Amino acid sequence: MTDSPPIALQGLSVDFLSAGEPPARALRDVSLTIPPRSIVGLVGESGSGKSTVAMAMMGLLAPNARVGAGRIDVGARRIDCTDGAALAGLRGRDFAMVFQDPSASLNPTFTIGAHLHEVLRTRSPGSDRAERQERAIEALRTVGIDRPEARMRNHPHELSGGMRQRVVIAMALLARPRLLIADEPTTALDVTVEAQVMAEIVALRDQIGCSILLITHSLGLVARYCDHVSVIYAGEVLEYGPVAEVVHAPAHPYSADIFACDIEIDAARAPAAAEQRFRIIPGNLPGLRDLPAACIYAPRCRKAVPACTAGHPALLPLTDEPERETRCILAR
Amino acid sequence: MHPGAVVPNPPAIEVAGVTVEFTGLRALDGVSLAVPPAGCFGIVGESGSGKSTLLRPILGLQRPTRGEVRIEGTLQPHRRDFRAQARLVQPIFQDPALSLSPRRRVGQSLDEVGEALGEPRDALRARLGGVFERLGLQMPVLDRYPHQISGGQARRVAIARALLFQPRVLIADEPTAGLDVSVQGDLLNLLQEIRAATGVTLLIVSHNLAVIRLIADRVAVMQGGHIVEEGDSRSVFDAPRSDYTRTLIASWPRGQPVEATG
Repeated sequence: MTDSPPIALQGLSVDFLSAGEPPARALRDVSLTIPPRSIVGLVGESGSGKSTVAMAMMGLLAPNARVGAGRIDVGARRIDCTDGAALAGLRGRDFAMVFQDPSASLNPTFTIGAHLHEVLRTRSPGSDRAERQERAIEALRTVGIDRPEARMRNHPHELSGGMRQRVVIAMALLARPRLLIADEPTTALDVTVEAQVMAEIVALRDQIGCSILLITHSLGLVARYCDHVSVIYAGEVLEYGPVAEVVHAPAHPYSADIFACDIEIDAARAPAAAEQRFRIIPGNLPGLRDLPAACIYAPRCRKAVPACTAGHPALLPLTDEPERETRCILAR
Repeated sequence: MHPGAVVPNPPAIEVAGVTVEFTGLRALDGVSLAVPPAGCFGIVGESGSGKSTLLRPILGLQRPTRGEVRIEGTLQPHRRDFRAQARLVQPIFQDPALSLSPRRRVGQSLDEVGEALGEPRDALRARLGGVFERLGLQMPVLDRYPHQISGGQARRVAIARALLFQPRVLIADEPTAGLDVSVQGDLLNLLQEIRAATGVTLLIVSHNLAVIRLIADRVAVMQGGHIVEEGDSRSVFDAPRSDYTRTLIASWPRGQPVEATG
């Protein structure tokens, strides 16, 4: 396997504009490195901006969004994130996306077969109809759909949520992207179906050799499936690194706090259920229209010291572990 | 529920052979369950398992096709006496907005509890002070409309409304769904405090196995309109008897154990 360069998102900043108010600075200087064939988790809570990262990379932001800066390195190309036409050139070819709601990717008036044929017409313009039909059926079979020939004639509403998500994965399989962006791909699914769909996403990576950006609020999914993780909070990446290191020894207090709040299936139990108490992070997200020139987590941080509010910290490598990065000045 | 199971006290909720059929679909198939008083009982299952359907006859919102539900011995639904019914069982829905009219100030919505109970407004407002204090709500919230308060406050108001009825049984349907992990503990701690302070019987329905494992004394696992396993939470999670329960637990994404720092 030749070592192709990672897909790198550099310095992405996005504002949302609304009349009569200062812009909401939804993303500030977000960078992500996605090595070939690896699964990188982008984990954050509501309002962190994690889905905005995906939509900016796909060039699918809402009309009131303004991309201030950012670039994506894909292979030998460098794409400017402020250039909508350049991003459109990546979409469906280099980048494919799986949304939380598979219906967002499927046209209710088209059959499953029509969706798969459309992908193949774009990606294999030289193919004939019989060849496309054969490859489409094979793709459905690959993602674990029974009776694929019959399913080709079904409409999306005739399939369960898990089956629809498999169809979207089959579309990605045929598109053969360099990067699959999966935004909460299993959040709407039952836990047994989630395990099956995640297995199909990993199998897709193994089969076509793409990289995956897994956007999720589920720390369990990150720990189970990702190689690297980026922890995002209120529009900033606070920590990045290999999953095992980040999970075992977080280099940012926010990462530590959020992992401590996560309830695992094998979490320690109080002697009696009535005595069980649960962790929280007190406080609220900072307002995105009026950000202080300080660590954005400092107001909620258990470890904050006066230096934390003396300036806005950059995302920098750890001294002893250069492959890890944190914005916490206390971890350096 | 197994025929030989020993229930120490008369059950708070007794579900006996309940079948619920919709046109062409049997959503519940002969479900029997005894929920002991003053504990927390969890019901887990996936979409379509019947766990939310089971809440309907328990809340008196639907007459079962067959079988019966009793709350503290009183047959449901108990519509002839609305006040007695409201004091028996109260729901907390997943979306708190469902409990609050968008056109009424929060205080007006809560005053309706007094009207329902035939309690003078002053007496209700006096009790309201205690409930608000327990829930960490400030009195100015009463003058706001639902859209003027935060989601977290709206959830608390919905819980306050339920508590004002002083029900014997509180039913929470997916209480943590849609909540971030940094705030879900707040709601769970609140339910724990209510349970300790009032002795209410708490029935929680959730797809979140990890939460139910910690908060519930007893658990029922549902699949396809049946209860496939029921028992003490520790034994169900640590030594499941049903293959389906084992599959559910094994499917739950688990990472490495995390040690909180500091």
